[in-house]
Amino acid sequence: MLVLDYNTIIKHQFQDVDASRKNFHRLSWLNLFHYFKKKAIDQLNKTLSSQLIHSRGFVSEFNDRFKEGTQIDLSYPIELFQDLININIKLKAEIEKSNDPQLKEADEILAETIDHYYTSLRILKRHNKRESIPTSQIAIDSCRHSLNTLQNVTNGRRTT
Amino acid sequence: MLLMAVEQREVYLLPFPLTSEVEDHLFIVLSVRQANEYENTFIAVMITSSEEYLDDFSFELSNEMFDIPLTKEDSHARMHLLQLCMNKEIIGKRITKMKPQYFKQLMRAIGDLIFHYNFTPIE
Repeated sequence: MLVLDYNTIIKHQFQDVDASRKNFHRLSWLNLFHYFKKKAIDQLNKTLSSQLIHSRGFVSEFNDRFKEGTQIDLSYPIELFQDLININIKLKAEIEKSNDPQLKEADEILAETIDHYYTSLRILKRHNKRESIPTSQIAIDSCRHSLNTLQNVTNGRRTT
Repeated sequence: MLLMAVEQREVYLLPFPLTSEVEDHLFIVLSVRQANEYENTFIAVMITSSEEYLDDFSFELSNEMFDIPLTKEDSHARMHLLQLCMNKEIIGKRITKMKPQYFKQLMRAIGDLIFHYNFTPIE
């Protein structure tokens, strides 16, 4: 049941970052008004710092909670984390594109946060319960590709 | 014949043999240049945009992760389907290059979920 609480936190994080992203578009208009721009950046850094703390907490909590061999259905939180990563990557890309030195701190905070979210995602995926599936067509085709490469090499058709 | 140097993180289009036809697919190069140059081969992971194959072994990709956006939206790498490719198979020029911070995450995910090893870069 605790997973549900995580889901709520993740959803809130997503909403906060999404709102920050929308506000970020207004920053360029604030360039002429130094005071307002500084306030907006402070607010952005505050939101992102809070998110960073949460992201560290997730890693620590998941490491403690999911012991080796634990397998439960984590498909929904995985989906939420993926959305959260995607929105953070989008915001980071916009910050990078702006090339604004005043946003360096926000960029660094986001880089660390994304790193923690990816770690959380890996932990969740590692412990997600899943059934084996029949060999997919794409896997069969991959094997054929490997075989083709092998035949190319063994038949001496290499160009080296 | 002089072949181009294939670098880690680069994305190339390669022919991918299906049951009845050959379809071109994007691949991200995982192996380093020194290894790639040794025998003009490289290890790569395939990119697909098919939702049918989106699962825990997918590493979701977005345009922001690359120097130049990918040609298709909603792409993902199939982390457990690693391929040995030959330089001479490459179609055309390099498509794009993955940004280091996201490539690091891809390698970590492959290390963790496919091999249960910690793939961390040597700085």
